[in-house]
Amino acid sequence: MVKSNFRFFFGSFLVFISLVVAINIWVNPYSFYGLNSIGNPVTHNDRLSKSVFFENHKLETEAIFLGSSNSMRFYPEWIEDEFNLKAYNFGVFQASVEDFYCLINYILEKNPNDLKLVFFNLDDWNFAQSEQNSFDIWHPANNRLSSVEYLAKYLRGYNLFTYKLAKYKTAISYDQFGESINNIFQSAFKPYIISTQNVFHENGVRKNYTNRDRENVTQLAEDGNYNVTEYLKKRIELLKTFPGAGKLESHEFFKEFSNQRLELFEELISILNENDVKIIINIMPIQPYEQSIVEKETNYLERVSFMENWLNNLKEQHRNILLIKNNSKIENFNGYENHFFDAIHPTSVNSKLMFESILKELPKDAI
Amino acid sequence: MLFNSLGFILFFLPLTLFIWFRLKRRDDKFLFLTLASLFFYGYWDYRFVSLMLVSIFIDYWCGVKISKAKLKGQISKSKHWMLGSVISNLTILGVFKYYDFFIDSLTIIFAENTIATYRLDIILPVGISFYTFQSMSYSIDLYRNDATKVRNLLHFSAYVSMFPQLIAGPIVRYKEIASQFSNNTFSLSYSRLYEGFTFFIIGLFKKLVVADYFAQYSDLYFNEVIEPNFISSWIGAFSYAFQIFFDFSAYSEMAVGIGLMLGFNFPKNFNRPYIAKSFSDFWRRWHITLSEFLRDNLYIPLGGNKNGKINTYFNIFITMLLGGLWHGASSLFLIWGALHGFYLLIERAIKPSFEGINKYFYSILVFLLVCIAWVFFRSTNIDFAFLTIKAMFAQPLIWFELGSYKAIGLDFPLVFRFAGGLKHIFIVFAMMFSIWFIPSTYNLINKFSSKVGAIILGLIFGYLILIIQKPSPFIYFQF
Repeated sequence: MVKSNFRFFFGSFLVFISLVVAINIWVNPYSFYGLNSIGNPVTHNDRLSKSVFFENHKLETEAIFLGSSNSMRFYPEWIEDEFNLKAYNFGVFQASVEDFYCLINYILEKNPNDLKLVFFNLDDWNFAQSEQNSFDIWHPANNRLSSVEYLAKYLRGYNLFTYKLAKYKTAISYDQFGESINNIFQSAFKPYIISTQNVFHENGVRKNYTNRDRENVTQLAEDGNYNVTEYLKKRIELLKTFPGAGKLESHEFFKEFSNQRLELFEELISILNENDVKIIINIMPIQPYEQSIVEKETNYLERVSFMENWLNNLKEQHRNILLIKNNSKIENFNGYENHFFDAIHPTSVNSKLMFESILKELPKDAI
Repeated sequence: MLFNSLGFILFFLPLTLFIWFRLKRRDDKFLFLTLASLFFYGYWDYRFVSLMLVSIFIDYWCGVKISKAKLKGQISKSKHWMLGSVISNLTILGVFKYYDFFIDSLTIIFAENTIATYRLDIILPVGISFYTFQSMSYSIDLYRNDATKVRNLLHFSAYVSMFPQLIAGPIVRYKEIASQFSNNTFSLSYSRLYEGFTFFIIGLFKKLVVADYFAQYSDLYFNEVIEPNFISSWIGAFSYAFQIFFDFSAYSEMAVGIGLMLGFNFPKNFNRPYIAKSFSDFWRRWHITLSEFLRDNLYIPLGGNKNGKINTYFNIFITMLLGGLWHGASSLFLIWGALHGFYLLIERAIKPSFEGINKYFYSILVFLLVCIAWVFFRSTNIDFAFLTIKAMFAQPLIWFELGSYKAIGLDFPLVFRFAGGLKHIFIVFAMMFSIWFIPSTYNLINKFSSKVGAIILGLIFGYLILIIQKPSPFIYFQF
């Protein structure tokens, strides 16, 4: 009797685990096993879908915007009108230097002679010291780059075995299973409002969709009429009282730069130099009220100053860096404090102002 | 190594069981169990393995001396050896756990910063409070004629270092397990193995699903809130009350389960404490093995209830105070212990006038007061603990403030989501209601003895394997 209980126990255990693995691979919520067919949240597969987009449209891209979600409202048309170069916005969510490195290597491999200009929109946290351990680096939920093998292959330390092991290990995980179930329900009852086609235009620009709509916080669209500072102040008041309330974006609350990431960026600049690709670097702003908090609680000013000096040193070594513009404060480009949608991301209005401030300082006929 | 880690569940435990059942000779089994336990302990920090070995050798040696003295009828000599064992263990505990607290207290009392330079800044060896108590219980039980001398050092080292309950109990006193070292339960028995697995999986479920769920909110509350209010303070206190109960009882039941798999019967450590009918009943249901240890080795030797009311009150208070201090070298634990001592005193003093009170009402009152005491146990500093208590009682409700949040686009439900969410508040109240109806694990075990029960257990185990990503340590590891 007890022996047969063991059989039933292990039998049901194995059937359950096998079912989970099968569902995870079929639904494929992180696009870890290729593009999935039922649609999934863009934040899980933006690297893959944007690169597929890039490839499918055979854009023969000559210029790209690179950066985090903060750079997603920079329109490629601005470059096309100004410099007559075909452009694409390759901004990805929670970007890190590794993303820039892999994306550029990928583009250079695809279109070796086309790329003429890279317009970096850098946030200081792109270079932050990461606490990810070796498992997390290959975990698609924590590092979205790792879901795309043809991008991840450029990463240092990449090897096929580790990659495949991580890929199938996550198939036996609850977070992937939870996402799978979520995907099934979402696609069964309504179209995925945050799937790739709903979030990005064909040129890679993010549509006017705000994350906070999901949280019933409306009026944060980018019309600039919403009082973002007041909203952030209230969130901070709530934070003091209610756990988890109105937490500010955590990206900025880091202390150190990662030497590895700084080195990787230097290597990337050298690669671009060798390929005769021109570079413009724009240091991105934070919403002024949030910036005042970040300045109070972290070494933000010190970090930005270090970053500016380090980039200027790089500029001296590499002739292809045309301009470094520190737009970390909105005054530097005459920006608006309410033109931050989701209370975080510069709207197209602030983005355009940044772009124009760069044009003003760019030497004539530089490109 | 944590019970709730894949390394333990998928590698250490199966391998240990496999070798344990393959070994034929009892002494080989105990040698292997000692080595496996030392590996288990050393996996956390190998440097402290030697400390445990010192404790083992001292108590084994004292045990030999106590037995010899007893054989010769030298009672006072045996008492000296027993005291030697107790003092040695308390010295180890004192140096590693309380020395820095003592220095810090002197620094504050004399307002003299130079005293602080005498701090040792030693890392607290995990489980030290448990294994030192367990180890010295041998000498005490021998001295009191409650147990006979252990057969050899192997048996004794296996008893002290036994990995299932090494880190966080239950505190297995030697007299409770002595006879088991010579019984025939160490060969493979499917029924014991299955029962042990069931205990282990129920414990794992309690830890991963229930305790870790409540931990999310209580950690947020106690680590991040700056200005507690009425709702967040009560929900924070309730959440921690459930977290610590499910966390600690989970560990105890997993230990009992592993013990059963190996062939040992460990004592019960919890018996639905939150439905206790009184404070004294609470302490008969919560961390039972510690309560019994303190009763037999502190409260009764102090005189118990035999020397009049005042002495009884004093003995209760001192026992609870030291019980609080046992948990950690901090004034917050002292306050927690003192508060429980105070509850017991009041209950004892005015109990007669409580007789007309509805027993359910009194039981709820006991639960609420226990939750208030948990605030001191969990808070990271005294100021926050008192802020929380103030918010629980002295702060007006915050309903009227909600309108202003709505004005900035944060609607009503969103505010509650920030407070841990309506879902969380509902779960807290649902849990308060269900503690009256959820049977204890000891009664739940039988439900899994059928084929359907086995299938359900397998599915639960599968689910638990899925949700283990980064195992969180058990709360009682720090003690």
